[in-house]
Amino acid sequence: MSPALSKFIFCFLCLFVCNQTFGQASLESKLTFRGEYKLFRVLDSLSKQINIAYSRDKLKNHLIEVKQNATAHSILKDLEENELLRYHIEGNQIILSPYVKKSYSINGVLRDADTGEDIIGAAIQIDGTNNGTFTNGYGYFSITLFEGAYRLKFSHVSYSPQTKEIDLNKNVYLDSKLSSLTTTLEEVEVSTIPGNANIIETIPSTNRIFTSQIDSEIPYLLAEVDITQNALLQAGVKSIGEDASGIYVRGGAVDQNLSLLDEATIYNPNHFYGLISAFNPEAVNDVRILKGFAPPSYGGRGSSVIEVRQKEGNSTETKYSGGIGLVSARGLIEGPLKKGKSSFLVSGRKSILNLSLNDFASTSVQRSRIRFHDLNLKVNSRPDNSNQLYLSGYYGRDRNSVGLNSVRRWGNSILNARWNHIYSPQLFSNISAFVSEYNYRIENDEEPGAFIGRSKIRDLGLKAHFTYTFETSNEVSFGINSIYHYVSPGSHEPLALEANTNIIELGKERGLESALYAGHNFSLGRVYLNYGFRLSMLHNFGPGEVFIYENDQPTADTAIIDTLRFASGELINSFKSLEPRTSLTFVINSATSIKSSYTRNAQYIHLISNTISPAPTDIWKLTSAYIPPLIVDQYTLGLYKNFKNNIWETSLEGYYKTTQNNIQYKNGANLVFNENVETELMIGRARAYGVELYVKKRKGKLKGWIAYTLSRVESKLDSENISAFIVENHDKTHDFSTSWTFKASERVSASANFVYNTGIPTTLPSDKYVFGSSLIPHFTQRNNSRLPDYHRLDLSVRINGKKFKKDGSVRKNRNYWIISVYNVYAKKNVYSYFFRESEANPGIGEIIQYSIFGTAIPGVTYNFKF
Amino acid sequence: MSALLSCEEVVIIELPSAQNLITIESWLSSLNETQTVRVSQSTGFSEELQVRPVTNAEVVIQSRLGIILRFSHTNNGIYASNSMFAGEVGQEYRLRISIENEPELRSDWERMEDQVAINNLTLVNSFEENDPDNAGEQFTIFFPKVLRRDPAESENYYRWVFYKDRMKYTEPESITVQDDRLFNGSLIPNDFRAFGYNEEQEIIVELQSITKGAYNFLSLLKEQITSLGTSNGTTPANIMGNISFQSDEVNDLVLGYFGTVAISRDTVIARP
Repeated sequence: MSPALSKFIFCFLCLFVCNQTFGQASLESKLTFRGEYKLFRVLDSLSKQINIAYSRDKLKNHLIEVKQNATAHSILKDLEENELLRYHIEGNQIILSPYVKKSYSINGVLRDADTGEDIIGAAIQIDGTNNGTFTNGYGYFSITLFEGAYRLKFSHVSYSPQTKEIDLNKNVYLDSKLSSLTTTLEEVEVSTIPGNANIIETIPSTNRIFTSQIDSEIPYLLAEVDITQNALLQAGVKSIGEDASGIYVRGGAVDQNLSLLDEATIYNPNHFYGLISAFNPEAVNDVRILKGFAPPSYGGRGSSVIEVRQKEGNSTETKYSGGIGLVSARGLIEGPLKKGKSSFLVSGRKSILNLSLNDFASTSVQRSRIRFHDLNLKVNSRPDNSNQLYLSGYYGRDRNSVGLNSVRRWGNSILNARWNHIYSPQLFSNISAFVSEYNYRIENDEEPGAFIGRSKIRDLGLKAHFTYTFETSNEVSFGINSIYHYVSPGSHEPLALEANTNIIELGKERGLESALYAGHNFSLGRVYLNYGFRLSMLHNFGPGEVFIYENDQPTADTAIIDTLRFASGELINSFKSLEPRTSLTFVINSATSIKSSYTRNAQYIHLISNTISPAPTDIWKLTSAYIPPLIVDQYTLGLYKNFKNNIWETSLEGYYKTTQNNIQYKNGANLVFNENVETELMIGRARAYGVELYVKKRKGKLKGWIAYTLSRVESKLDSENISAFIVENHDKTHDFSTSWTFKASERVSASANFVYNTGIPTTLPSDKYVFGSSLIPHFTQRNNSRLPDYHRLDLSVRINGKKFKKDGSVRKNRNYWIISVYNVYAKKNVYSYFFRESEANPGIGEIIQYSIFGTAIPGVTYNFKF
Repeated sequence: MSALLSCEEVVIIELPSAQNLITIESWLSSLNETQTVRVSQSTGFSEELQVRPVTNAEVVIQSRLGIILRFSHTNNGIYASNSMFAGEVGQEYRLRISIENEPELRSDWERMEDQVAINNLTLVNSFEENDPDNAGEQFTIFFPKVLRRDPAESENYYRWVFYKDRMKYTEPESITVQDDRLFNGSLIPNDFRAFGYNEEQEIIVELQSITKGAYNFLSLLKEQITSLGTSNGTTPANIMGNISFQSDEVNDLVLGYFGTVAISRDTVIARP
C-alpha cells in the first residue's frame, strides 16, 4: 500500500467517526488530510461525511489538491472555481454536475451622445482579443460571452472611442452613447487611437462614407457637398464624365447598383444629369457601398449595393440646420417628439436657379433648363428597449424643359415603415414594408403628334430579416424579401383631345420578385467565415401578352408568328436562381488581415438604355420570355493592413467578375414606345477585372486618402468568339483619386481633391463620305480609341463661425462658409469628340473636342446649424 | 451659372487608316424627270481631299418588269439618266453598277411606295425677330405647317424636303424623316419650326413616301450627324445600306443607299 493511500484511509476513518450527520457544520468542518488525490477518491470520502450525489460518467477524474485546513465546502468551491464541476444544494443533498460554462448576452443600441442618432457600423470589441461585433444598420448589437469580467471597447471613426467594464453574470442591455469627434475638443481627438474595424470587418470590398465626418464633407462643384461625387473619389467607383448620370461599380452597368434608401429601392438616384445626387447630404446618416461580397440579405442587382440610411432625427433637442449655395438651398428640422422615446426629421432642398446647361452642354441639351426639389421625412419611436418603429419618406422631382416645346418631369417617391424587435438578447428582427415609385412624364406640344408620354415603375415590398447570435462571432441571419413590381413601360397619348396622335399603351408588367436567404457568420480562431445563400425568384403575372417569334428568335416584329394572351393573375413565366455567397477573413494580427469572397447575384429588372449615359426617360423592364435574368459572379482577394496604431489604413484588393445575359442593343435600336423592344436587344456576356489600392490617413490635422484602380471591363455577344471582347464605354484603365483635408485651426480647414484617369473609350472614324448634302463620318470598329486622359484639381476652404461668445460661453448656433474652386488649373478635359464638316473648308471633316467645363469654377455655400 | 463655360476646339488626332469605300446615293423619284445617281469613294476623315468621284462606272436602274434605265456620267461622279423617267408606284426597282476591275454592285429591290397627298400647306407661328443687320428693326419669320392624311391601312414612312427659293433647305436639319407608328390613319398637322422663311420667299414642301429600309437608313444617318458625342447619343457604328458587291471574294462594305421616293409637292409664298 502506498503511503498516500494509507494516509487517505486514515483520514477517511477519522472523518467517518467524527461526522455522521449532514449539515452546515459538517460542510465547514476542517478536513484532516491534505495533498494531491484523484477527484473520485476525495468525493468518495466526502460522501461518507455528507450526502453527495454525482455520476462518475459525467465528471472527469482529475488530480486535485486538498489544501491544509480545507473544508468540504472549500473543496467544492475550489472545484467550481477551477471549472471542474458545479455544485448546488437541494434539501439535505449536494448535487454535483459537470461544469458547463454559463453564457450571457450583452445587447443594446449605440447612439450619438448629442443627437441620439443610431451609430451604424461601430465596432464593439472585447479588449485584448480580436473578438467582437459591429452595430447593424439600426445601431443594434448583441454579443454573447461566458460569464466573467470583460472590458468592451466601442469605436467608430467618427466618434471618440469608449471602454466599458462589465462583470457578466446575467444578460445585460446597454444603451451606450459615444461623443462625436466633431464636437469633442481637438486634444481629445489627438489622444484617441482609431480602431481596426477595417481589419476585422468580415464584409470585404466596402466603401463607407461617414457623413458625420469633416473629411467626408468634401465640397464638389460650386461648393456643394454631394454623396455620389464623394463616392466617385473612392476606389472602384466610376462615372463616364461630368454630364453623365449614373455610377459604375467595378465595371457593372448603372442599373446593376441596388440603391437603397432606408430599405426601399430608389430607381434614379440623380438630379440635374447626375451632377447632384438625389440624397440630400443633410438628411443622411450613413452610406455604405458593397462592391464585392453582398450578405445574402441583399440581392436583386448584379454589381453593388449602395445603402443610404437617413438620420432618425435628434431625440434630445430640436435642432435646425441648412445652407444655401449657387445650386440649391436646403433646410432641416429635427427634434424629439417625446424626449428619448421618439423623434422626427424633416428636410427639404430646392434648386434656386433655373439651372441651365446652356452655355456649356452639348447641342442636344441646349436650351434645356432644370429645376429640382426633394423632401425627406422621418419619424421614429422607441416605446421600450425591445421595440423601435420607423416611418420614413422621400419625394424628389426634376423638371427639365428642352427647347420651347418639350417638358420632362421625373422623380422618385418612397414611403417606408420599419419595425425593429428584440425577441431575446440573441434574436433581433427587422421587418419593413415599403412603396417606391419612379415615374416620368414628357409633354411635347410640337406638331406633329403633340403628346404626353408617361412611364412608371412601382414597387410594393416586404422584408423580414432575423439575426440570431449564438455567441460572439457566431451568428446566423435569415429572412425573406418580396417585392411586387408593377411596370408601366410607356404610354403615349394626345396632349389635347383634338391632337392627331394614336394612343399607345405598352403592355404593363407585373412581377413578384422574392427571395429566401440564410447566412452564417462565425469564427474559428483567427479565421472568420461568412457563408450563405439566397434563393431568388421572379414570377410574372398577367394580364399580359407574349409574342412568339419565328424560330424563337425575336429578330423583328415581322417575325411574330403567334401571340399568347394571359388573363389577370395568370402566371406567365417564372425564373429562379440560387445565389451562393461566401467570404473568408483571416486576421493575421490586429493590424493585418486577408479577405476573400465569392458572390453570385441575379438581377431580374433591367434599365433599357442604349445611350452613352442613361437618361431619366429610359424605361425599366422585368426579366421576361426574351430577357433572361442577369447573372453576375464575382471573386475577390484582398490584403488589409494598418500602420502606426491604425492611423494609416491600407488595402490592396483584386476582383474578377463575369456577367451572363448582358443586354446589348442593335445598332440604331428604337427603344421608345416600342411594343416589341426585345427585337432591339442582343444578349451577350461581359467580364471585369481589376486591382484597387486604397491608403487612408485617419487621424491628425491632415487627413485624407489615395485610391487607385487598375481595371478593365469588356463585353461581347454570345454568338461571337472569345477574342471578340470589346472594351465597354465606361472602361478606365487607370483611375486615381486623392482627397485631403487639413485642419489649420479650430475655425479654418482646407481640402484638396485631385483626380486622374485614363480617357474613356471612344470610336473614331476612318473615312468620310457625302450623302445628300451632309458629310458623314464612317466608323469601323466600336471603341477603337480613347479620349485623352482626364485630370483635375479642386480646392476648398471651410471657415467656421466663432464657437464662443465674447463672454466665453459657447454659441448655440454654428455656421460655416465653404469656398471652393473646381478645376483649379482650368484643364479642358475632353468629354467627347464631335465629327463634322469644317465651316471654313466645306467638304473637309474636322474633329471638335468638347469639354463640359473649360475653365476654373468658383463656388460658395453658407451653412448653419442651431 | 454663366461662369460654366464649355469649350469646343478643333483638334488633330490620329485616325484609323482610310478604307476608301465605294459610296452610292440614288433616289428614284415618281416625278417624270432626269433621275440621278452619285458614285464616289470615301476618303480619310481628316484628309484634305474631298470625297473622290468615280467617273467610269456603268450605271443602270432595273425594274422587275425588265425596264432598264441607263445613266451617263455628267460631272463630279453624278450620273444622269439618259432619258426622263418617272418611277411607278407599286413597282420594284434596283440599281446595278459596274466599275472597272471590280465585281458588279447591286442594290436590294426597292418598292415605290404609295404617294401620300399634302392636304394643306399654310404658314403659321410667324413671330417677329430683331433684325441682326438693322438694330431696332424687326422682321417676321414664317414657318410652314402641313396637313396630310396618313393612310390607315399601311405602315408609312416619310421624308420631308424643303426648298427655299428653289434651293434645298439643308440647315439645321438635312434629314427630316417620320414614320406613322404614333399617328397611323390620322390627319396629321406638321409644324416645321426649324425651317424659317422670310417674307416673299417661295416655300416648296415635298412629302416623299419611302420604304421602311430607307427610313431606318436615314434615321441612323441622322443620328450619326446630330447626336454623336453627346451623353444622349449612342455609340457610333457602321450604317449598313442596301448595296453590295456581287462576289464572294470582295467583302468590302458599300456605303450609301438606293431608294425610291413617291413625291407630293406643294408651294406657297411667305406672306402675312
